[in-house]
Parts: sequence; C-alpha cells; structure tokens
Amino acid sequence: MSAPVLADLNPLLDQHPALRPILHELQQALADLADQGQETALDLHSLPLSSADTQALLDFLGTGEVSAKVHALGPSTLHETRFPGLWLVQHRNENDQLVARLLEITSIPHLLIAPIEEVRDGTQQLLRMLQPQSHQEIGYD
Amino acid sequence: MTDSPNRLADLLKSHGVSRRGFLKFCAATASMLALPPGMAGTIAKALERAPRPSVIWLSFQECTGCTESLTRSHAPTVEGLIFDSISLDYHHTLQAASGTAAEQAREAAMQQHRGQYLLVVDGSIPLGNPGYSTIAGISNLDMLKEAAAGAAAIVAVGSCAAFGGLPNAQPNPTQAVSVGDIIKDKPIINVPGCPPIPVVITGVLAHYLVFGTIPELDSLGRPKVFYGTNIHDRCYRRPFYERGWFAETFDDEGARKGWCLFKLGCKGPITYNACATVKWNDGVSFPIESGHGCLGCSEPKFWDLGGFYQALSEPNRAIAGSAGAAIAAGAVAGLAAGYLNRSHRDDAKAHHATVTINDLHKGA
Repeated sequence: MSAPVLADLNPLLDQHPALRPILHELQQALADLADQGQETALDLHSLPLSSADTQALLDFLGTGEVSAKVHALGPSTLHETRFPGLWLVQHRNENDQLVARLLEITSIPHLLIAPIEEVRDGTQQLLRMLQPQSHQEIGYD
Repeated sequence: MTDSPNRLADLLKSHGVSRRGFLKFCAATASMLALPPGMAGTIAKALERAPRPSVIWLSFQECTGCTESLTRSHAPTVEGLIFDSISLDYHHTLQAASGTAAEQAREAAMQQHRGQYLLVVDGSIPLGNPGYSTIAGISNLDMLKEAAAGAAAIVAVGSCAAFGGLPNAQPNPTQAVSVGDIIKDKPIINVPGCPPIPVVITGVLAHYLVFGTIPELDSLGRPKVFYGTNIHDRCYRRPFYERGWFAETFDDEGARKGWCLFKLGCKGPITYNACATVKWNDGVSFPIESGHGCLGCSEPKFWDLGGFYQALSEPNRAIAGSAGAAIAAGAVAGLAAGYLNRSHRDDAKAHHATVTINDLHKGA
C-alpha cells in the first residue's frame, strides 16, 4: 500500500487523548528505524489504554500490504499497518486466547525469519532423505 | 524426571516446540511479567541456558484449591509450559508415588539439590497439636523447617501459606500461622489468593527461571508485577464508583446495569491482585465481572474483615476530611478513598461506620 493519506487527527485525539503520546512515540520509533535501523517494540498490554482506546488505535493504524500467520504454540498473526515498518503482532495460545499483542517497529518481525538452526536441521533431514537407502529404512514398508 | 532434558529449551524442543514457538513463548512470558518487549530476546537466551529447577511442593493445612488452580488448563498455555518445565520432584497430590516411595523422593531431591531447589508451600502450619496435620507422621512444622533449610527460596502459594488464610481465621483452633511466621532466614515470595491466579503462580516461577532471582516484592512479600495495583483501580466498574452509582442489592436496577458493587461489600479498594486485568478461567471474567464483589482474598485476615457483604467500613470524618484535601491537590477522590480504606482498615473496624453514598459524593 502506498504512503497513507493522513486525515485530520484532531477528532480522534479529542475522543481518545491517551493516543497522542503513543502516536508520537510510534512516529519517533519509525524515524529511528528509517535513519538508524533501530528496532523497537511496544507491548499494548502494558499501555494505559481502555479497550476503546486500543480499538481506536488499531483502527487508525489500519492494515498495509503484508499479512502473515505463524502456527507455533497456537496461531500468531502479523500485519503490517498502513505505516510501513510498523507491525501489529498478536500471539494466541492453542485455546485461541490472546497472550500478547505487540506493535513492532522493524523491517520484518523476527518471528517470520527462518531460524538458522532449523534451517540446518531441515538441510540435514533433506540430505538424509536424498541418500540412497532401502524403502524399509525410510519407512515405506 | 531424570531421563528428561535438563535445560528448558531442550525440554520444549523435545515436546515438539519449534524455535518460532520458543520465541513466541518468550514474547508471551515478557508480556506476562510486564517486561519491555525487547526483553524477549534476553529471556530466550536465559532460558536456553537455564537448568530446570528442582521444585519441592509441600501441602499443609489446605484445600488443594491452589493446585487445582494451577492444573486447570485445558490446552497448552504459557503457564502450562512453564509448569511443565520445572522438575517437580515432590507434590503429594500430583505425583504417582505414595507412602514411603514419595517421602524417599522428597528426601532424595532435597539431598541432591541442596541449596538450589525451590520450595513451594501451600497451606498454613498448625502450631497447636501437631496431630492437626501431618504427612507420613511428620508434623507440618518439622517438615517445613527441614525442607526450608536446604531451599534457595520459598514460594508461599495461596493465602493460607502466605498469611494463614482460612485456618488462621478467628478463633484459629489449630493456631495456624503462615510460612513467614516460622521461616526467617530464607527469601519468601508470597503469592496469596484463595486460590491465586494460575499465571501469577507460574509468573513467579518464570521470573526465577529467567533471572535466577526473586521478583521485586511489596511490603507484604508479594510480587509487585502482579500485586502492584488494587482491584478497584483496574476495575471496569470504577467509573460508576466515581459517579456514585451503586448496586444496592444483587437484583436491583444498578446490579442489572453493572454499577459499582462497593455497597454490596466489594473489597476491591483494599485488595491488591491482578484479577481485574489477568482475569480467571482462561481470561473469561473475574468475580466483579460476574456480578459479585471482590472478597479481598489476597489480603491478610480477609476472613475476619467483618463480612463479605458488608460495605467497607470507614470513619466518616476521615473520608470527608482527607478526601477533600485530596481534591484540593487535584487527586481523584475515589483513589483517595481507596488508599484511606486500606490504611485505616483497622481503625475502621473499630468504628464500624459504613461509608454512605453522601460521603462518596462529598469526595467527588
């Protein structure tokens, strides 16, 4: 999605004044990412926001071009917001209950990067499968 | 448990938890412990190296509600994984062994991990006739002293272990006391509640796993991360309190509209716990959300506070005068009343004057 068209923020901030410092913090964090490559994360559970404030914040941030889902100990969803580099990351457990909700300011959330040790494990596994062996050894009996 | 991997990361891997799952687990743990999200990486590194701590769990004068609370997870959760990750070497309700074999397991764990194991205690300890509560013929007092001597730290789980709880209520026939009344030379973490919230129990274990230290505690020995704010300050019904809108009975218009339960005896203003934020039954609700006032179960002597359905007592003069001063200072009146309720509780009990709606209006 292209650069967001910023609407007048005043009505939103009049209704949800708690969002003003958070939006300033997010703006600074994005500037730090752009200028210095510095990554940041905010835990939405730790912010003094009512559920209405949180929903208004999420509505304002909207959705961008990238969405991803990770299935590990329950589903996690990762959405880039309409501000590139600002991601909404929500972790749920296997009961589908929200266990963490983060705003990550990063080029790509670490959870999406293939862990190198698992890449190595996968490489070895594929190598073993490619080596000549009887069907019985690889479990086709 | 001797055949199990002895490092947490290995254990999770052996349970089929992927690296991404492990990182997610660390992110959720950081959030649970109210740590900055950037600490998730630190947690991951610490847990990769962390040995599985040996835990000895002793149950004395208790109802098993604390253990029930901890084990009532129906699917893998953060708290479930943490609990699975410890080496629970003795817990006479959960372990398969019984009788002599169980006691031998306890003695072996105490010997093997002397100075390093975590001792978890639920239930109070009777100082009266030792026959009130014994395990394998050993009095609770003797068993506690023996196990505490070799412990790195003690976690007093539940209000009985932390403050004496129900057995300690007047007239206290067994002369029940808390762990802290007996053990004076070991760090003690009080995790009160009747029962405590499961994630609060495991949060303490997680903190110990990650940092190898006990968390920051309040004046009553409770972890501040979970007991730092009172129920009232985090209650979603708080705006009704500040407007002076109260349910007068459990079936009146106020009750139906979800107004404040203060006048029905809610002890939220004097109770420090995480119920209003963490909630119960896998996050479904907490007592106030279910229409009943807070009983104050994570506070000392909560059984003797004058009745669950009696509004918090407060000398009228104190509320009116001090809350007025708080307003002059720009403070929120409800907050001032809450602090007063806590600090003058004993005084209030003596006067036994109930706060009226007019008193609250004076402060608003």
